[in-house]
Amino acid sequence: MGARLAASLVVVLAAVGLVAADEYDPVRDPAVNPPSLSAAPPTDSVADTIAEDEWLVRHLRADPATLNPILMSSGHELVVKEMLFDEPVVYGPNLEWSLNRAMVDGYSESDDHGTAELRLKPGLVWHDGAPLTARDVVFSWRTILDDQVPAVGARAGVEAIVDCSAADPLTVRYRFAQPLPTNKWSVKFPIIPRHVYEKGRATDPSLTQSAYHQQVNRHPVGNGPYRFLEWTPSNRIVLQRWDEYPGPKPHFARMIFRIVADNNAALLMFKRGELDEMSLIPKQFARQTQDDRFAKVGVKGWAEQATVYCIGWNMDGSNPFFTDARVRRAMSHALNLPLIVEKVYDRLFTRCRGIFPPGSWVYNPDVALFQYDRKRAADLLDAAGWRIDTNDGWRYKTVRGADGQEVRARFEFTLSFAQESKTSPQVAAILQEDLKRLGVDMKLQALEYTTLRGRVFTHEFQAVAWAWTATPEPDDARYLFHSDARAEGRNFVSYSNPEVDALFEQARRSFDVDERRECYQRIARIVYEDAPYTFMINAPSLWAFHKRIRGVRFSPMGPSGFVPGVRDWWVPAGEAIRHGDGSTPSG
Amino acid sequence: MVRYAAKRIGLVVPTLLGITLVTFAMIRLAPGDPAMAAMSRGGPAGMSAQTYARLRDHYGLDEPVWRQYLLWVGQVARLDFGRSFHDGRKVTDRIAERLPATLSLAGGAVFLSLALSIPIGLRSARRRDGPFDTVIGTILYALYSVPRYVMAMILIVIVGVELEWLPPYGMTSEGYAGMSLPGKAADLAKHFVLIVVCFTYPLVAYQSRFVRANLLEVMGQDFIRTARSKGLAESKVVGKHAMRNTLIPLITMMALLVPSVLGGSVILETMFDWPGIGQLFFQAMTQRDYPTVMALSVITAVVVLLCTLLADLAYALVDPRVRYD
Repeated sequence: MGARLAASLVVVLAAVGLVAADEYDPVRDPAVNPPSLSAAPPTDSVADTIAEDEWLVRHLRADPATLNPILMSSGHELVVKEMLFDEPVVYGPNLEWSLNRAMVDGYSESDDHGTAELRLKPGLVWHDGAPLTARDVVFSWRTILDDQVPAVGARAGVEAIVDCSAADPLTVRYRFAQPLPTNKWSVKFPIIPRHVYEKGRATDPSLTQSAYHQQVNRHPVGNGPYRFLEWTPSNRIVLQRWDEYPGPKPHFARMIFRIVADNNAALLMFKRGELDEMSLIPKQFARQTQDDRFAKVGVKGWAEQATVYCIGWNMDGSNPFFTDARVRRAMSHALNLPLIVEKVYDRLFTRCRGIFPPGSWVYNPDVALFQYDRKRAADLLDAAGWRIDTNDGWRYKTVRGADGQEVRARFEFTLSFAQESKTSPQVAAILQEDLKRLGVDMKLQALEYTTLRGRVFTHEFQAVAWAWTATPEPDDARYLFHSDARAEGRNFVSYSNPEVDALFEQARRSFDVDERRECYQRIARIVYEDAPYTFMINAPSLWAFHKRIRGVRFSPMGPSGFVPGVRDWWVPAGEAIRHGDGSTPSG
Repeated sequence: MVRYAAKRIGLVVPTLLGITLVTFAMIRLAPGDPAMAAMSRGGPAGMSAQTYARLRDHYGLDEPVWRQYLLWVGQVARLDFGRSFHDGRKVTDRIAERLPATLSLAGGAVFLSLALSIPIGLRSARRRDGPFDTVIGTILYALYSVPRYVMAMILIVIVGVELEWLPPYGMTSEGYAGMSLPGKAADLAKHFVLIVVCFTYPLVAYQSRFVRANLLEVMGQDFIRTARSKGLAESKVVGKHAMRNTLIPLITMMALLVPSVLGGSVILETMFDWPGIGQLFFQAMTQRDYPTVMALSVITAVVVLLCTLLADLAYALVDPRVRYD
């Protein structure tokens, strides 16, 4: 008993960060990526090898705002959406464009790529039994583009379709604004049941305000492998396997999304066996899952992910520092990434080669990385005119101020980061120390994430620790780096390079895969060398699973969000824990 | 008494107006708005300026700020708190569905703390500086100095996770809907224990010392000496004469318990994943869900005002010296 309490105390101290842990190496952690985790479901239909009655309890980090798929846009909402709603086009295991064979017979584009045709399978129905036809697809497209409907997330890709019509109940025709290789992605949009949503439109065109829409948006009628059962706000969402699903049926009878906002609470729940899967933050993966409690219930999944961590340098001219590429390169040389990868990111993360992640078909492995080299950084700063004043040791340069007068400016700027981030303060402290030795004074500013995001979107920052997850379509990087995206778009740092602009345009119009790849690989190299961002690392997928779960595979966006994804997860017969515990299904 | 009550009630209205103004100003001064929060989710291309403008219009953020305030106060006066920016539901519905969770906590904590602190306080006072008084006093002082969130963490990790004696999260277990009635009651009760303990222990520590000090003060007064010299039994002296006078100040204290419990619920409900209004407040704040945050602030303020008002009036009723007429 005494030993147990002492052990508990250590756990408490570790949780509050008072016990120093040894250096972590994921390769030597036996709980990481055990072969059982990825074991494929048995294909021979021998009865009783899979526990088909088992329940799966998944972690959801926030309460969805809605379960209407065209109104959803946050990551945690999409996790629920893909179980309730099937779409004609889905992501494959590498996030490639794939047809959903459960509902589509075929897709073809005209020779000039100006139009396309999608053929639905006959006999499709919604969860309520009403037929699902081409008219539902057309209705969904119209609704997404309707100005009065706040379909913020869904609208972005769909705008490339200028017309969508039902040639017959099973055939959808699309006409595109321009013949582009990216058009096939615009066909990937969520489908909502026309017979449900057309009813209330006359009185509430926004689909969000009326009592009727409130009801149907929170009790959705879908067409996916699971149907809706119940939703207790901020607590749980319960789905039940849909027996009439036309595709391969998933292996869990019930899927429960447990909504837990606090990540630490979620991990403790996981250790109590109350959650079957959750995403971990690096500290949890490396430090807080080494105990016996975790080993008793869980294993960990570690995989590459298309998430880029970087530091953005604002070059819109509002500061005298970062418009000069030499200064940005100096910053990149001053960042001690080998130390950061080892100490801050516990060797879980890999160094990043710029805008396209490894695993992408346009990844450029030949981009030469900036090496940590303070001497080189000092030379670049000297060359850019920022020279050390021997009186105080800081760097100064005479620059033209806003009023046209020449002023002597000290190299002093502010790096903003999200105060919720556990690692950004450590990265910032390491960089701050190196910059100080270079004669550059970097101040730190932690901002609540919502506030930081607001500042970044309105370009009100000097330098920012930032991250994004790359989509599978490389053309989407245009919105981050094309000079047209400075005013509207996500070119937050106001990067502009005519050569990059031209390459984006060329790649966007070409249907030759090799030509496109070459363009994007050149873009990757040029942008990395121009250093509008100092590209730090690619963040991995870090996940915890109950150890009875099998069949898990990772895409570059994590273990779900693609087909088959969660539909392939299974539990061997005899290892079921949830349905055999005496509890009975309530719905 | 009537004049006193009228004066006290008259003060409530300007106080309330002041509260709405401060609430509104503080929330609007926080940077970022809900349209901006939605903006980051506009797909890879981001959101066009038109869409952003449409969203701001949708949330009513384009009106001048003073007009937004007047509109809002007008609605609040009609008990209409508008719709949540988060999910579009009526704010009153969102609060109503969470109220039982918080009220049951508050009720449990207040009842339990009084049930424990009054006997402890009385006993400590009657055997002043005896072994009971010394030991319990030391323990309670030690407990009182432990912040609730630290205690919450210790209880969750040790009792909930390591020893697995009690469930530390939520109100019910998985499969609750399928349980028998006694099973449901037992499941609920188990979930209540840890969070109620966290709410209760600082209250017990404070109130029992309060009762002790009061009783000691009362016991030193002349009318107690008179009662004793009349030859009354000690149990009557304490139970009838001293007790009454000791408990009067407790009325004020009880009214102040409500703000304490409501304030504590924001952090504790978040830590224990308790589906009450404290957790809702925390979530609404991070989502910049103005209508929900403002409704909760105003409702909390009104409850606190009402409680202090009631306490003052009750106090005036039982203690004639307070009626200044």
